[in-house]
Amino acid sequence: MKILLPVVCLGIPLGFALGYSFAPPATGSAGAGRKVLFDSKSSSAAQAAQAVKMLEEIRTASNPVTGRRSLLDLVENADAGELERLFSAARLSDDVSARNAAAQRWAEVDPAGFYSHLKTLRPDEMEELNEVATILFRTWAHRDPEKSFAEAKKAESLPGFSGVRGAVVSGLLEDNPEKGFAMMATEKNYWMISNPIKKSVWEKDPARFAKAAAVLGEQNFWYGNVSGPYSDAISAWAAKDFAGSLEWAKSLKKEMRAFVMPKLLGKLAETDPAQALSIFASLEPSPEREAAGPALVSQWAKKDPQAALDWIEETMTGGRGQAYTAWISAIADGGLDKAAELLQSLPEGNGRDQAVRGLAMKWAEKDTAGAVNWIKAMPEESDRRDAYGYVLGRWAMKDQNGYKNFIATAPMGELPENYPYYFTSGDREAQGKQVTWAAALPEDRRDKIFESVFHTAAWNRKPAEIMELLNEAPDQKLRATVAAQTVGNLIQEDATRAQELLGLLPAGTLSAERRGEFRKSVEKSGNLPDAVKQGLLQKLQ
Amino acid sequence: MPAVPSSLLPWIAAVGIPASIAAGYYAGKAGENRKETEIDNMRIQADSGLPVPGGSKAREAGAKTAAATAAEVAVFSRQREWLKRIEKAEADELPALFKEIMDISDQYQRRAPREILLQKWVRLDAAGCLEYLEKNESGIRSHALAAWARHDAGAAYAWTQTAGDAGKVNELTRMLLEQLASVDPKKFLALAASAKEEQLPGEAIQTAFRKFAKSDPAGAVEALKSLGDKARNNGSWGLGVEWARTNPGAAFEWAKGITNSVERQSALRGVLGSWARTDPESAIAQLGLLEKVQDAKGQDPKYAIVQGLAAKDPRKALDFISENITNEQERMGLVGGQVISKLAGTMKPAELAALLDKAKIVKETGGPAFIEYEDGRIYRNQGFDLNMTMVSGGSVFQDLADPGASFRELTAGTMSAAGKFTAAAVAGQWVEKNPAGALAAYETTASGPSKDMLNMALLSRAAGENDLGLLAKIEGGLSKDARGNADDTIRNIARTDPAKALAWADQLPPESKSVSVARTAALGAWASYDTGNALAYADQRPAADQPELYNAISRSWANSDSYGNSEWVASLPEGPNRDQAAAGLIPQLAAREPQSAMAWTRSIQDPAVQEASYTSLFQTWSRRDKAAALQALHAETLPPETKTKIEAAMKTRSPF
Repeated sequence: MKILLPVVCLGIPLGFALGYSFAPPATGSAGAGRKVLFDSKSSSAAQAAQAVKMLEEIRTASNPVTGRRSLLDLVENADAGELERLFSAARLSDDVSARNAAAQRWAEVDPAGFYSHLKTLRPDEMEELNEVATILFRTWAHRDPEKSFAEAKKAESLPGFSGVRGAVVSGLLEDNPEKGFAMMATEKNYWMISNPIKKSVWEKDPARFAKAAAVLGEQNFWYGNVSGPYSDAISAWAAKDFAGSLEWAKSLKKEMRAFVMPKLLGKLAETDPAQALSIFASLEPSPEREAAGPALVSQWAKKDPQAALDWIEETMTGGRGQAYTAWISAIADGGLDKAAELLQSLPEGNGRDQAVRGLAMKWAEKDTAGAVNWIKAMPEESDRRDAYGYVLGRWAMKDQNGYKNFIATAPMGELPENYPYYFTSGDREAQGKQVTWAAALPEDRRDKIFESVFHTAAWNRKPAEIMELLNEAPDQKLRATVAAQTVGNLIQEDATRAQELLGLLPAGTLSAERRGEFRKSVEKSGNLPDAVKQGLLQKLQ
Repeated sequence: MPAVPSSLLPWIAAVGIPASIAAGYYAGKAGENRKETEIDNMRIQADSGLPVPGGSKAREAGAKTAAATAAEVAVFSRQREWLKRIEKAEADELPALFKEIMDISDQYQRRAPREILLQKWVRLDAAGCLEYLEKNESGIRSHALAAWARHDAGAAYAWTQTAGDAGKVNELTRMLLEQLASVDPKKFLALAASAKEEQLPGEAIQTAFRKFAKSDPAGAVEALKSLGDKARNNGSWGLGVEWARTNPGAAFEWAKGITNSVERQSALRGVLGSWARTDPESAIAQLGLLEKVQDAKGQDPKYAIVQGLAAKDPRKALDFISENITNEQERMGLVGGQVISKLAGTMKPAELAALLDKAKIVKETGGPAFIEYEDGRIYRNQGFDLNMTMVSGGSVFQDLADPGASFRELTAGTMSAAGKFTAAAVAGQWVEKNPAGALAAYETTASGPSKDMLNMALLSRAAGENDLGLLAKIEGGLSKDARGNADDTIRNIARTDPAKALAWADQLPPESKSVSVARTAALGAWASYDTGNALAYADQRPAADQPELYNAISRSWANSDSYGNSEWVASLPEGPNRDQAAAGLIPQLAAREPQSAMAWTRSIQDPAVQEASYTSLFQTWSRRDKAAALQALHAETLPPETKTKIEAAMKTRSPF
């Protein structure tokens, strides 16, 4: 019996402990008990092969959803060493999904180790893994912003790590916008954020986000990808708590107010135009008031175009041009033809010209040919040239053949000044086709196309290829003009290619006068190696 | 405590111990479930966007850990949520779900659910999926084709062949083959054999052989043999690039042994390019094998050699560039992008400058550059600006402990081209680290290049910070180019805060050029919303200041109401104010009422103001109707030399 006493005394607590240790893990990813993925006794090659096989099975799963779940289970269960295996296996099989999932998890469990691993990769391989570096640093920022930023600063000059400082700031903005924006302001590098700030970040607490971002200063919102989310955050805040956002806006410096007030009143005008107008009227004449007008109009014009237009005429002064543009754009959303018709009701002047450009941009996005016809049909007295140039540029981009046909057949007076540059290509075959096509055009339009093609060819074509293009020139005068243009460019940019081209040009292509000008330019050049300089001068004799 | 009868001990042992084991087991299980619930809560919080309270433990551990955990958990849990929805969705619900997924603003979060949804969609209704994407998200068609190719490449290919007219068939076939190249190179090659040339992009062949070479270089070599010339050139390059990463020696032997010269050159470019990144010396030793062959694929390995050398010994990279790269733009790009930042980490700025001079790599024009934007804001590129390539000053000299001392060292004697260039970059660092120290040095430095550099660096800070106080201290020393940047800064501030700009102008010495810029810009901005008070301000200024203020007001007013503005100008008494106000009308009137603008220009009495107005008028007019403008110019009673000058000005103005 005496033996039983210690057995009972020890047995009960020990039994409890034993039972606890046998308790199964909760189901689900985070609570799952870790299952070792690779047999530690097998060779590293065998483990690598096993990892490749695992991922192959996931990729070829008959149900993609099940496959993806298996992948998530796999990486969430893996430790750092296993993640390395999975990451490498995914890279070997170009499985971007698995690679990124493994990268995400590895960055969560061991960011410094993952970073060390990436640094051991070949530089050209790492250049293909910039996305992975971004995942690492953004995730690392959640855990340790200071450390990750310090490492990112050092890493940015390494192959494949460009933009990782921005990744840290992006990660930090998710957790702590004040700290994230303060970091951007301190670094004075507003381009750090290469991707737009996530919607989910500013939507969490738009008021907090807007207040925090103000540290950047109005003049810096235009850089990087802050401006859009910032505007959205202000609008979201205004939708939730207009009074609070207005109170805050009033406390800002004048420069910031001119940026913020249009967003606030624009948002309010969506639901309560009368109140927006009343607040507008209470503002002192100021840049912020002028900037707020167009924002208000862009909402109001959708509901009552005539009332909005009357209001512009009565109220707006300096911001009238922008207000007309906002007005016509809002109407254009409901129908381009209607907008074109109503445009005629605007008084002539700078304001209407701005509205014409605004409508042209909208129209060209939806229907380029329609936009061209609309502008061509406009009365001659309108200042329609800027709009015309924009629309033709879009046309050349979207429908090159249609644009080329237009260049070939339209009266010269209808062509914009820069018509060849809208469709000049850097591609060798395209350049060849372009000069062949242009050679058959009337001289007036042909020569400008040649000049444009040779301007590009001087940058990216070998001298022998340039000669091939030159041979397409239908007359000696044009050949001499573009040859001189190209030699001049090459002397500035690539003296060796200039020498080579000069060696290929038939005697007499360049006039004595041009050769003299080029000689002077070469003699004055301070950074050409002596041998190259002498070679050029000899060929320019 | 009452004693336990010893007779009960066997019972207690027999029941108690198993019971305690069971109790431990369930307690453990409950604990695990609690942990899971806590994390689930975090996930929900993170997904909902609410702050994560994390309970008392998380608060104690600090917000940092809670944020980290929430964000980490969120990435995968969000994916799992999407997977649930994709799994449940019927075929007709997929378009709406796809649209929702495309609205995820984070591209990393968007990619996985989008790909999984597309994989499900192509299994259920591939043609419908592509039809939907064609109408709504044409940029995603390639992803859908990739998903389809992964599932059933043959069916995807067959579909593309009947997808529409010849242009559509070519477009979709090309798209499919591009995707298939990275999904399954063997299938790609089988299908590519029957594809037309315009359906088979060279890049896809390169991709296929790169992938092939990763797992089976020998098989890839065999596969190359059955291809046509163009495909072999592309394939050789791709194979060479990838094979040389794992076995450069074998890859090189293969490339060297190819008999077709174009194919050999493509292969050698690929092999040497890869080899050079880890063993540039070996690649340099084989450069003699490269020939200029027109149709060879791939980049010249010299660039990879520079990168390889720069990683190990940037001085050697610099030597290699100066000896082997002759294209000015490429030289500058490679020095700026690959070499300088690495050299700067190993030596003092003065030594770096000497090296750059020796390599004859820096032009006199190098130095910090300003980029101007349309709205007048300016942004300064810090540090080196080698022709077109900018290297961030932050990364070049980030560890410079005492940029002031470095600056003094660099500017002590006669500066070379690279010395000026380097000193300008160091000045930028100095101003950023210690603006007060740099300003003090500027104020005590004698006129010359050093002062100019400090002036530029301080100006860029003033512009970046909208700091009119700093600008006032340095504006006397601005160069002609820098003057323009300073004026842009002043105009930018005046645009949003005219009162601030006017108050600043009042504090400046009257002879300062900034006074006029600030006042005219401020009056122009002010008049755009409050013409009456702007005019009242102008009228209070001394008579000598008034004409340019009248001009600014008139220009601004004419923008919104040229009729009202012209009535005002007509009401003014003759004299300099009226002349300038009339001149302010011209730019607006000339565009649509050139005859009226002519009449106003004729009414201007000051000959200089009148000539400038004529020039502005005819330039604007000629944009709309060159012939009519020229005819009018020739008919106007003006001295012949004035007409010649105006005609020349009309030619220099581009209409767009």
